[in-house]
Amino acid sequence: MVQPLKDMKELLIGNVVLLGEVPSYAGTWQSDDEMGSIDYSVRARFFADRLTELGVDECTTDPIGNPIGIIKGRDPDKPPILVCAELDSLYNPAGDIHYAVSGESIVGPGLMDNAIGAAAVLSLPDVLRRLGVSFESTVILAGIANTMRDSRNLVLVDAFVEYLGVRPAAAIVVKGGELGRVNYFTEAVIRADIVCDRNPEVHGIQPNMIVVANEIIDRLLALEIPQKPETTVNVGIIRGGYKYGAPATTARIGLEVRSTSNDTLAKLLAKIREILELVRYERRVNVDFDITVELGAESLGWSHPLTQAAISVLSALDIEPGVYPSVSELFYFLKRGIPAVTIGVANGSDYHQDVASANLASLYTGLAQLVGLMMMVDGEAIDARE
Amino acid sequence: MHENDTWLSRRTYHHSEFADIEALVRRKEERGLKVSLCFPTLNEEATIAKEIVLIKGELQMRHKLVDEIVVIDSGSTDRTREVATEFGARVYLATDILPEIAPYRGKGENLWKALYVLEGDIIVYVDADIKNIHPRFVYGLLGPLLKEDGVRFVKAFYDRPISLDQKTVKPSGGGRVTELVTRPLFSSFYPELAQFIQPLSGEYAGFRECFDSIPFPIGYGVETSMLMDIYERSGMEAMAQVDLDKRVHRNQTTVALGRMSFGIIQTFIAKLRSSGRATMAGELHKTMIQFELEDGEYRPRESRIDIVERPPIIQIEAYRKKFPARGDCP
Repeated sequence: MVQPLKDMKELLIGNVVLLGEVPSYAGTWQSDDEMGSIDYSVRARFFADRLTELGVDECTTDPIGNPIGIIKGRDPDKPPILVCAELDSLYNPAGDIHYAVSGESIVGPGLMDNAIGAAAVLSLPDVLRRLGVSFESTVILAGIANTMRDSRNLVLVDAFVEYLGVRPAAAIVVKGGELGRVNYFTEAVIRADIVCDRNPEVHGIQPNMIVVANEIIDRLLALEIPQKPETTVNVGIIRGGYKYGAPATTARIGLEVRSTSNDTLAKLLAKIREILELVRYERRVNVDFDITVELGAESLGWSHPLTQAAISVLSALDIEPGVYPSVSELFYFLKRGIPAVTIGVANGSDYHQDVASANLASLYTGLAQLVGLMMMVDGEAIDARE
Repeated sequence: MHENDTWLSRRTYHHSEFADIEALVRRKEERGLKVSLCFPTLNEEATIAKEIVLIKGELQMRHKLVDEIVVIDSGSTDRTREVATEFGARVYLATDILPEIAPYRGKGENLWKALYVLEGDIIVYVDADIKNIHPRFVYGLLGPLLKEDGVRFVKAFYDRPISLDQKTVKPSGGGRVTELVTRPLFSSFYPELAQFIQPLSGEYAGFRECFDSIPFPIGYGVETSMLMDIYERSGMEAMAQVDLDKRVHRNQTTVALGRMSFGIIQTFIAKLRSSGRATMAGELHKTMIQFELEDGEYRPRESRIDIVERPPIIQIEAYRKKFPARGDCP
C-alpha cells in the first residue's frame, strides 16, 4: 500500500502545506447563521472546508467549533471508527508561515506538531477513494482545535469527546511523529503554573519574586520521588522580572508532575501544595497554583485487539513499535471506556522550531499504517474492553 | 480615480471569482483548449518543488485544469532540475531547446523558448521564487481567459492595493521599480498601461498567439516590453489583471533593482523608438554605473547591460513547422 500512497504524494504534500500554512491560533469567524461572531480557529475552518472539498459524505462542526467529517459505512448499525488529530501547532512563529518542500522532506514551523498529523486525517477521504478502500463502519474524521489556547491544552479535548454524541468502536489519535509510536496507556499528569507575585496587603519592601520562585524550586527538588511507581517532577518553564536593576515583581514556574500511579500523583500534589503554603506564609507573598492539565493513568491493555492491531500493522510495515505512555488526549477516550490508541505518521526533527522537518518517505508509510489500522478495526470486534 | 465603466473596473478581477475550479475545467473543455504552465528557473531549489507539488496535486490530479507543467531552466547549479523532475514536471535546459540558434541567458530567453516546447493553447508563466504558492496563482490567471471571450492576456497583481467598489483608494501596491520607473514611463507614453497595478509581476497568462507574435527581450524588460507589444497589437480590451492577494518572494537589494531599472529604461526607449513614438539623436550608453564605498572611498562599479531581443518566435521556421496552425499567421 505504500507505493500507491507515494504515487499520491502531490496530494498529500499539498494538504500538509495548505493546512500547515494556515495559522492555528484562534481567529474570529462570523457564523453562517449570522447569530454572531465566535472565536474560531482559522485552521479548523480550513479543515472543515477542505474535508467538504475532498468529498466526505457529511461535514459539520461540534458545538465548540471542532470540524467533523463523516464517511458513511455500509453497515449503519456498526459503531463508527473515530480518527482524530489535534489541529493546533504548539509552536507559532511571528509572521506568516511558509513551508518548504525539497526532494526528501517538508520543512516549516508547526509541521510535526501537529500539521502533518492533521493533514493525514484530512487526506483520508481522497486517499481512501483513490485506494478503493471502503468500510463497513462509518468513519468519523475530526480535527480538534484550540487545544493549545490559554495553556488550557486538553480541556477542550475533553469537551470534544463529551460532545461526540456517539460512542465509537475505537478511536485512533493521529500525531505527526514519530512513526512507530503506539500509545495505549496514559500516565497521570499534572501541568500547573506556580505564580509568585506581591501581596498587596503587605506594606514595605517585598522580596524579589525570582528569589521566591527559586526557593520553591529548591523545595520541589528536595521532594522524595519514588522510582516505583515511576514518577517525575519537571520544572519546564520559568519566567520573571522585567529589568536588570529592579527586583522582580512576578515570577512564574511551569511545572509538570507525572506518575504511572494516580495515587502517587495525588500524594505528591498534596506535598507540593504544602510547600506553596509554607512559602506563601513565610515570605508573605502571593503564590497561586493554577492547574492547566490534569490527566489520569489509564490503560487499554497490551492484549486488547486494538493495541494488537496497531502493533501488527507496524510489524507488517517492518517498523519496530515504540511503546510508551501518552500524556495527551488519549486519556479522555480511555477514561470513558472508548478503546483508543495514539499513532504517529511521520519521522521528523526539530518539532518546535522554525525548521521542523518531516521525512516524506516516512509519511507514505505512516499513512499506509493509518489506513491499515482502520481496515483492521473495521474487520474486527474491537469494541470489547479488557 | 475610476468610474463604473472603465477598463480598470471591467478588466480587473479577483482570484476568488474563479475559485470554482471545476467550472473552469468545464469551460476549458467546452472550448477545446489545452493549458500549459511554465516555470522559468535559475537556482530555485528552495521553492520549485513546492510550486510543482501544489499545482500538480490540485490542478492536475484533483482538477484537470492544467495539461502540462514545464520547467525551463537557465542552467541552475543547485538541484533545481533534479527536484523538478522528481516531482513530475517536464524539465528542459534552455540551451537544449532550439539548439541551432545561438543561446542567450536570461528569463526572457526561457519564456521565449518555452513557446517552442509547450503544447498548450493557453500559456501560464509563473515565477519559481514564490514562497506562498497556492493554486489561486494559476486558476486566478486562467479565470478571465476562460470565462471572458475577449480577454487574451492576464497579468497578476498582489496585496489588494486598490478597492474597486468603494471610494477609498489605497496606495497602489507596485514595487519600488514599478512606482519609480515603470509607472512614470507608462504615464508619460502609454497612460492606459499605467492602469496595470503591477506591470512587472512575473505571473501572467495568455493565448499562444499573444506571445508567439511578439519579440522577447532576453533579460530585464521582458515584462514591460510584453505589455507594450500586446497593447499595440490587441489593445486594452484584450488585456486584464487579476488580484492574487499576497505574494511572498525574496527581496532584492536597491543596487540590483537599479540594474533592473536600467534594463527596463533601455528596453522602453528602444521600444519607443521602434514604434515611432520618440526619436533620439544618438545611441544610448549601455553601461550602468553604480558606486561602492570601500575603505572610505567611492569606487565606480560598471555593469554592461545589452538589450538583446528575440524576434517573434513565429518567425522561426522550426516553430512554424511544429505549430502549422500558427504558421500562416503574420
